Amino acid sequence: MAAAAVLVFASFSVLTGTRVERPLEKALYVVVNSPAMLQDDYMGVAVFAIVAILFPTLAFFLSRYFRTDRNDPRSMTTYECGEVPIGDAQIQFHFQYYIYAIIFVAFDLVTVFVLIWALVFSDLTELAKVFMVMFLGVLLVGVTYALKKEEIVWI
Amino acid sequence: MSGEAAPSLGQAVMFRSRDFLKWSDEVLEYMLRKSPIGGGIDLITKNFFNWATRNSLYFLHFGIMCCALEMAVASAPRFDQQRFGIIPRSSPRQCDVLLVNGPVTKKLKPALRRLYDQMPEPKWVMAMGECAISGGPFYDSYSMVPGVDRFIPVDIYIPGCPARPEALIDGFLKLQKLIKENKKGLLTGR
Repeated sequence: MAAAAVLVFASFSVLTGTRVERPLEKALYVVVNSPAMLQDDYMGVAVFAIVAILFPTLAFFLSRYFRTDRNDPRSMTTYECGEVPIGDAQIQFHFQYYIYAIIFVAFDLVTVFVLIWALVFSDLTELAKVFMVMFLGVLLVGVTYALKKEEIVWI
Repeated sequence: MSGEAAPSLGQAVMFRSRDFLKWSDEVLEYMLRKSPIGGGIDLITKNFFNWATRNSLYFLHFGIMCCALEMAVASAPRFDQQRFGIIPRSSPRQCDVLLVNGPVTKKLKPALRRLYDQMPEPKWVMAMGECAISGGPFYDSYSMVPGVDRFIPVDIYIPGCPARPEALIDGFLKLQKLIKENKKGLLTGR
């Protein structure tokens, strides 16, 4: 472990071009104090990690002990209200929808802000109203830019 | 297992997810079901699972004709079949019971059969009303299937034209009795 720590410090100094003063002492300090540091800082992370690994594994294997193996291959087909399924249920969406989703999210959030804005409109100062209009303007400029650049975002 | 030899344990590490699922199905379940572990687990869990199954009969919310109205009324407060744990579900993936309530046309037949196939085991079928039992007034029609048991195994028949909600609830109680009498372990099927 000490060797690993020294290696980390050495590679850090080489990669970043900075010179680490007394790498061996620092590495030793880390190694000696690491159990206490780990317990203090990373106990939650460790518990979380163990649960996150154990739970799906247990669920995956234990579920086999509580189910029947009688099943029809047709039971695994896609459910389309009893009709003959067309294609797979797990289809891939084209990447261009991602850009579209980003633009959508911009105005999706604006809706929330505008609703709150309208609710307390009479109590707002002039400055707050100006700021809100500026915020809307910035978003509008962004979305206009995105729509103008249609060839780039492939909408 | 049939055909090719089972993959070794070392191979399991390098599997793709789809292959890993197949490997788990083949090796783990084969070992489980053929060994005394399966029988032991069945012995422990059989009663509990049977009790849980028969008291939470989810049926497919699939209305065909006038018996569907009686089915709806049975869920409503006056008859309240939910007190027996009988709840309509809209997806066959979540259902235990396929409740056929009406005449099945020849055009609907493949769809209904597919819905039955898409339900997970263990599953039961109830034919509600004369049309589902024998075709009813349409028994000699050119477009109707005379009885749903021509293409799906039916466990409970509920007579009536249309069947009253009380009759439907009685049918479900009879199905509960049927499930209780045919107690089976999920793993070994005994």
